[in-house]
Amino acid sequence: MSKPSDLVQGTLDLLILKILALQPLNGWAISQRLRHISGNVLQVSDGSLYPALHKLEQEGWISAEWKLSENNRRARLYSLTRPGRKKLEAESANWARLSGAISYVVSLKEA
Amino acid sequence: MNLERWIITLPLKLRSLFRRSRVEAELDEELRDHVERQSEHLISVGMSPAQARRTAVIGLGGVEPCKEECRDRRATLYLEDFFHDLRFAARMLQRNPVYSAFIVLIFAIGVGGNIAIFTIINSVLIRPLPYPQDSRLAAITETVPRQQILNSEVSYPLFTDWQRESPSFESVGAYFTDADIVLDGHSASHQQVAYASASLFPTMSVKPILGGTFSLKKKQPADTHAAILGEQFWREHFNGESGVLGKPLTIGSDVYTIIGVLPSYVSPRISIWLPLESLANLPFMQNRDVRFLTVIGRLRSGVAVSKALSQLSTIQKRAQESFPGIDAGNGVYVQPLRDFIVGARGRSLVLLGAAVFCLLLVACGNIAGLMLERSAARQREFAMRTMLGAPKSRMVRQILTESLLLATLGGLAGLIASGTVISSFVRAASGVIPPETPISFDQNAWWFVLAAIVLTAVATGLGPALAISGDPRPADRLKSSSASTLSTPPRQRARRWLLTGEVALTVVLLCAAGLLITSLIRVMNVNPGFRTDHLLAANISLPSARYSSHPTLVAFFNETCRQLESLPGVAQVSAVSTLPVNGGDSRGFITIEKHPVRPGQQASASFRRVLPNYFEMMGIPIISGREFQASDQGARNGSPMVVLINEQLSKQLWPGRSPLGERIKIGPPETEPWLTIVGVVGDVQNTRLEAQPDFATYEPFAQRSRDTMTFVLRTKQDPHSMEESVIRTIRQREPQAAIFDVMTMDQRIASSIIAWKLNAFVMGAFGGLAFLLAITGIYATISFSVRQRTAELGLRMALGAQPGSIMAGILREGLAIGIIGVGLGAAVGFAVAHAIHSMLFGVSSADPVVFGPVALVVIATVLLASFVPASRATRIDPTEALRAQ
Repeated sequence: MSKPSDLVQGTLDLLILKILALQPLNGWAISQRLRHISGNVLQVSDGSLYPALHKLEQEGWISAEWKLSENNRRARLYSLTRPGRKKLEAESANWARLSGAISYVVSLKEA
Repeated sequence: MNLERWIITLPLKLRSLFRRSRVEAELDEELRDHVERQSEHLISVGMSPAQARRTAVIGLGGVEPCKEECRDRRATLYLEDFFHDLRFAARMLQRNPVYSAFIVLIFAIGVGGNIAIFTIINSVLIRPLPYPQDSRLAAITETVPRQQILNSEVSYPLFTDWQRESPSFESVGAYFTDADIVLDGHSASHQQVAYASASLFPTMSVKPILGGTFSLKKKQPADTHAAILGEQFWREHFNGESGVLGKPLTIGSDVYTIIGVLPSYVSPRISIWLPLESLANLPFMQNRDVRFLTVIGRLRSGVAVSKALSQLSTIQKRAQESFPGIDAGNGVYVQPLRDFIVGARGRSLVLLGAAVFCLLLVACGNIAGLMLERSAARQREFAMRTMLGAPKSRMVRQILTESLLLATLGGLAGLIASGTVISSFVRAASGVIPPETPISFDQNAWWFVLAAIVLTAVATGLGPALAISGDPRPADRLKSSSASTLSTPPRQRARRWLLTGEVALTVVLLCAAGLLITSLIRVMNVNPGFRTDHLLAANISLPSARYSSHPTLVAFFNETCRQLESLPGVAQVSAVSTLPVNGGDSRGFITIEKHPVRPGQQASASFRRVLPNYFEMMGIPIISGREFQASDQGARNGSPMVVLINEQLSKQLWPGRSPLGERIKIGPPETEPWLTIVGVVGDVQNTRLEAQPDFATYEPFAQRSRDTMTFVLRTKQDPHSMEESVIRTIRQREPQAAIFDVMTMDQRIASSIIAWKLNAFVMGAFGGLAFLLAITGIYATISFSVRQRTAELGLRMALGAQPGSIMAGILREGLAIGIIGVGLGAAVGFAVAHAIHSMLFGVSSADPVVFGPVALVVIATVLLASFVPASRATRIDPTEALRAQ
């Protein structure tokens, strides 16, 4: 379970949106945050993260701008857009339903 | 995608398109930044700098692949590809300039022709009329079945009936046009004058640009002499000054006060509007049998034309019961105002529209064929790209981009050319375009241009695109070394069907053109009944205040005739009240002495008043009886009132007998005197060349005169050159006379058949162009197929095939296209000919004189077009052909 393609389709997008909902971050910080939050269970390679970010940006869910971060370093800072916030709510609800259903199925006792 | 997201992402898309290097630089910087941060992080947990950097890069899966994937995800590929395709297409076109120019030219002809005709159709038939809520305006006319008239004008009493009672209409207005001399201070001119009911302008919701309109309140004495100017007259004669209100204007013998100015879109030809109600006491206004008003009503909102029609019909029936006799059998007809304005001209425009669309189809077929051929030649290129992994959709897009580029170039060229076409059409087509609907290019036309370009691009590109993407075995294309296998049978079949369709459409157009051209020739060959050459005519109208008495009028016209006759170059001069081939006539019902009048069955005849020598000068034969004599002066010298009738009238009303000595009345019997028939003259096409033979009568001017006449001069030299001296001579005699429409008879006849000429010319041009396109298409296809089969043909000849049989095989190919196309085209052509039946003259819709030659010419030309490549095929040198493999 190391490659993101093994993640349920759209899960990476959902995680990115959730992380950015807390605060605007640059790409590297997002990758760090992903690792920490999921306790290394979900290993997302950086090679998949950036294309995903660019896609989300192109679709209008997140926006990016260049800002000076700590010690005068320029960084591309991603933040959630208003439509992105709505999308996150809708996707979270979806996810809750889906994962609930799956865990119910998985927890069924074998006869 | 909702609007907010669209607004957020649009600048991004544009940026990734147009600021590519900037976007690239940023992507580069972002990834470099990541690598640095990740390396620092790894170093801080104890890695060596070199290893940290390597791990960071590996984490990304490599910097370049990661970039590539980011680019892909930015999803602007479609547009980027489009621009790439466009550049590629432009290069392809440059590489084949002749081919490209040819296709652009065909597109320009097809699309440009359609833009031109659409602009005209749009202006005349589609665009709303310039009145508010124009769809509620309707024209109300009377139908007179016994004269086969659908749209008769309406008598004043009937109009006032409708004004009193027409529940489906909010209001009803009426007008009629006349011409009169207008004196504005110093100069006299002959102007179109309209008498309009006070209700007309509110009905049409027309607001004057200056002043007001006629008062709706009855019996306002100030209003009876009020005049409203048309915008154009106002600008030309009063320089568009606003101080014109309240000024006097002399029209005929009366003085009017100017109370307003109407915008020019209201009947542009009318110079001055006068109140109809001011004429209410004149006898003809009370006569239910004098029909002269055009009636326009505004329907109540939500009332359909059909409902209005049935309501008015009921009212009409009731009125007929209270006034038996005069309107017996007449009905009422209501139609949308636009249909009324456009009338039969609409059909002519629709026909031209259909024809030019056929031309576009032929052009598209031709281009599709050429592109199909070209795509065959490029099949190796496409097969190579398929092998290298290009998706088929990508290549379809490539081909469509090429056809779009060609169509756009052609469309733009056509757009530019259509401006010239439209303006020359408008100049030539005065009879086809109603003045109320000026031609102009508007938003509809722009949409049409866009749609035409896109649709023709798809129509022409789709065939080749599908042929490419349908290629099942691209690898085989690469294996074979020559082009010989490239033309797959289904493609050849598609090409042949295209050509058959082209030939069929061409035959339809040529048949229609043939019928219209034959009609034109027949119209031009109609015997007008008089000698038309060396004839000059000038209309003159005398100021009625000074020329009110019969003797002054007779003296003026007789003396002026004599004076004109003395001009060098003039052979003979006379005058007539209405010139022949003038489009119109004055008519009256004929009452025969001692014959009971049966209402509804009275014949009507035109009447003219003529000066001495009219018949001799015009070359109209006296068939029996005598010409007018100097003594035929009616009441003036106590001689009986006399009349001449034409042969048609004599034959119909006195079949097998001589009408000489019989007495008739022309017009209302209660007021008209008895006229004795003294002679019969030859028939003349008095209204139009293509009119049916009609009843005509003539009275001598000395017996009854009038102040508006037309001088007719037979000249010894070119009548054109006489115009000025004629005008000068008349002016010298009477400076206040209005002289207008000074034209040679040849000019008048030419302008009277302009609509016929236009139909024939435009249809002929479309047919000719389609013919040319179809023939070049056939020639190109068969040459191509011969070229492709060089090896096969060479082999067959090497094996002993006779040149004759090879040629026959190729000719058969062309002949099949020709015969099937002609057959299909003739079948459709018969249907079309039937539909345009009413636009034909002297030729039946299924005339073999037209269909036979068209079929023969098309088949012969198709054979010729295939003969050239076929004969080339027989000259193939077998050894050469085989070695080329």
